[in-house]
Amino acid sequence: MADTTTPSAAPVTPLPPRLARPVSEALLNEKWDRCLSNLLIKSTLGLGFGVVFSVLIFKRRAWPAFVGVGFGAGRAYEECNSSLKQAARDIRK
Amino acid sequence: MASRGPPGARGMSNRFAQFKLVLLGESAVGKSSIVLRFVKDQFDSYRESTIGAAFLTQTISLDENTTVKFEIWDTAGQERYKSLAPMYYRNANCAVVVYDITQASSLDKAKAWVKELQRQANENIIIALAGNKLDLVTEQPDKRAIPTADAEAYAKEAGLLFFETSAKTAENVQELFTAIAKRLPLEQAGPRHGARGPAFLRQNNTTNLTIHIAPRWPLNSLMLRTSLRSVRALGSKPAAAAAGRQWQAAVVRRGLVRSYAIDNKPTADNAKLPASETLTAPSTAPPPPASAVAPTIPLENAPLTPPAPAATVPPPPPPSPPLPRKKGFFRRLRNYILTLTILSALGFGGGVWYSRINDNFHDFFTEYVPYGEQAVLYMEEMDFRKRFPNVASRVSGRSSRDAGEQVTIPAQSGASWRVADGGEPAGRQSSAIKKTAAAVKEAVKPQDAKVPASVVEAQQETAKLPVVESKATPPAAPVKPETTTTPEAIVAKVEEAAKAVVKKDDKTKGFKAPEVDEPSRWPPASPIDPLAIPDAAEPVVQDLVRMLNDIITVINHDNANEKYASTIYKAKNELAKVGSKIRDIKAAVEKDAAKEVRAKTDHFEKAANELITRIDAAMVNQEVHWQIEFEEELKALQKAYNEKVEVVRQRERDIHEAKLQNKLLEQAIELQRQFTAGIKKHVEGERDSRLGKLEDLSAAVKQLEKLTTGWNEVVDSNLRTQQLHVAVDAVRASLEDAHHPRPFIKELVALKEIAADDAVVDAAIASIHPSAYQRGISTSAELVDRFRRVATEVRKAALLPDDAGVASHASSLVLSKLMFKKQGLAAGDDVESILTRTQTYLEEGDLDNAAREMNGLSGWAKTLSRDWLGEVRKVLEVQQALEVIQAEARLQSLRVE
Repeated sequence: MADTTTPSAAPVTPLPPRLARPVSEALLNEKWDRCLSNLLIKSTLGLGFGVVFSVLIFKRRAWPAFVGVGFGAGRAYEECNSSLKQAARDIRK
Repeated sequence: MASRGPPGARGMSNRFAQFKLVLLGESAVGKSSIVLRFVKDQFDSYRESTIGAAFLTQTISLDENTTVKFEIWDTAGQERYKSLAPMYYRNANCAVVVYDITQASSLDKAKAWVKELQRQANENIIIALAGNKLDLVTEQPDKRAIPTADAEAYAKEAGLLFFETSAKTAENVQELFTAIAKRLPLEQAGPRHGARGPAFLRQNNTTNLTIHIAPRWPLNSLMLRTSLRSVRALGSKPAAAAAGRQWQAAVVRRGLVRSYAIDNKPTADNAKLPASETLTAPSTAPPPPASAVAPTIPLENAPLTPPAPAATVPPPPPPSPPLPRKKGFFRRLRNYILTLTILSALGFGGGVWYSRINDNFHDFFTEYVPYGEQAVLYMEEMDFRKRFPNVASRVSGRSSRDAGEQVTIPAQSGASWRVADGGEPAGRQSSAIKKTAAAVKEAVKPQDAKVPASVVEAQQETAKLPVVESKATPPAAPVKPETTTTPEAIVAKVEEAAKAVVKKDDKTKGFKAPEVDEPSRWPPASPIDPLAIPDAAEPVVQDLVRMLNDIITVINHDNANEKYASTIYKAKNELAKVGSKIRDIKAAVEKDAAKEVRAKTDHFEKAANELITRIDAAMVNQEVHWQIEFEEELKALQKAYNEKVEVVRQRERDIHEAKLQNKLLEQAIELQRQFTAGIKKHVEGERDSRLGKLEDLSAAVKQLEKLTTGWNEVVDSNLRTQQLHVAVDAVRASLEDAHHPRPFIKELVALKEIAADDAVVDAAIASIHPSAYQRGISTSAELVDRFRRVATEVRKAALLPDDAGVASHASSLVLSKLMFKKQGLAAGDDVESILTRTQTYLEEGDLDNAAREMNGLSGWAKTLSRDWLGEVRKVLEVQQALEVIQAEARLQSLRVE
């Protein structure tokens, strides 16, 4: 009854189907997925570099490989952290 | 020097003039740039200021034949060079005063320059005002400081040429100089003044370009003047021609020195000139003696000069042997004078001839050459007379030689007079009119009183003779005193003398008889009196008489009277006889002539009469003919007129009838109209009274109809409400029926149609989100199911701080599992209690409150539950709209009853 003044004839246009956007309850999960995959890739890359360095330079020592993994994981963590913080900032806005 | 003549001198009909041009104006207005543009067609953006002055020359051609050479003095505009300016503008023929149109002060300076030029420079100087730097103004119009109109007004007022130029774009530069050249007096070329020499000597210190000026005098244009002047100079100063080379120099130099009146100067110049030339132009070689003849070649080629003097001028008198030899000197003097005379005569003749061709030269010649005007006038008159002989005699009214012949044909004069006059000398016939008048007068007189002039003359001669002779003859005495007094008296008293002679003749005849033996006493002064002969008027007789008289005179003179008296007497008789014979012949001829004339007259009269009669007859015939024609014409005209009148009358009648008919028609129409009006009135009255009741009836019917329509409406609206109820129920049913979300757009459309533009229904439908009826709304079971999923997710994020990183999320994920579960409507503001409350409301079916609880979340929790909340809201909206429509339907059904 309160809406008597609003104009009639609601637009009956078909809405475009939402394609890539996940439902709201899956937002965090998706972020976690990305972070984990990122972690995996970066760590692997780091490991790769470490192995190569250890083979070429460091006489097949183990530690360069670990250092490489550490660098990759650290980088992935940092990126994940920033993305989450950015998301939080977007929410607050 | 002369061999390097200007290019214009080679062409035959070319005009070549050279002018000094000076540029003035304030510093940095672009004088030098204008000159540079004009002379070399260049422009220099960064030009240093001129020091002192710069000299340049440029030749332009106005047309095919006219070439103008400018000697341009580009002065320095800076104030410290101002005192030098007079040196440059002195004797300048033209000046260009330049100002800068972007600087107001430059125009003031230009005005000052113009004033100075007009006051101190050559009085015929042509000044052009040029506003430079036009290119700046065209780029930026606000830079202009001096409007064109102002400068132009000033130029017009001061009589200057005006141009706005741009040395940079070359705009108007060429036009400026061309306009100046056109303004210059090209006819009197060679505008050099005597004062020029020293001026350019001084300038030679500042620029070394002046060398070129001296050799390039416009010889061609000066040709005539120099040649004439040379003749005059020679006439006045014979010694000037002594040295050939110097004389040539004088000829050329005098072209520069414009001095008409002073003839003494050239000799003074002669001595100095070679020296001054070498001073001014050290580079040019001194003219070789052989080249002295050279300037005569252009003189000969010059078209306008008379060729003869030029041809005779070149051979100057050969250098004579030393003066002390008197014989050689005289011979030289004689030769010289002879040459001079011939030259001047030829020159004068040539001048007269040329002044008839060239107007300017005519003015010059008549003004400056003595007797030139008279000679030219005489030549012109001759020419005019030759061309129009009749007009000349008529206009002038002068008695020319031919005029006399026209007058000497008096109609009444007898043949005798003509013959007598013919013998006389022509000069005495000037008074022929008077003579003939006298002759006419005398012809009227009686025959014996008539005294012909020849007789009088004879008498005079004879009368004079006795004066020379001795006065021994007394009978001649009465004549003598008259003749001796004055010749005029003799002429005046001709008639009296004649009469006296008549008497005397009678006397002498009486005399003769007694003194036969003394022939010497015969009056020798009594020659045969012409009057004694009856036919004295006959010319032949008169001639004879005169002859005889002469003889007698001679005889008398010789005192041989006695010897020839008898012979003369005989001769006299013969003469008388001849006279009578002639008279007889004359009479016979006259008679014949009269007869012939009479016959001719008769014949003519007869012919005339015949002609007259013939003409009369013809005229009568013609008249009769005309009369007949006239009558016929009259009849025809009358007929035509009558016909026309008839036609007009007929037409008039027709028109009248038509008019009458029209009037009748009008009356009929009027009557008809009255009739219809009456009928209409009648019918109206009837209708008002009887048909009035019909209207009442129809009104009643209408009311009935209205009532029925009212009922119809009620029924309709009832029906509509019913339908609305049904439609709403259908929608609700479709919503509740579904186990899965399903579009209910069809039901909504039906509802809308049934509602038939009900505002409330429309608004309610509009409040539903389009996605709701397109995709359908979730059922409550679905909502609850989804809530469970959302709640687990939200619970995971329940413990997150504001700015959560990876660590926070991980810890929240782990710790949320350790939290206590709550039940029912748990109090508290934390995420867990809110979730529990929502759960409770959902289980109760209170969607509205559940949504409100979830809306109370914040942060990540709210973000995660956003979609579920939107779903719930959609469902709520649809429910609300349906309720509104149902309420409206109910209201409508209430309103009907």
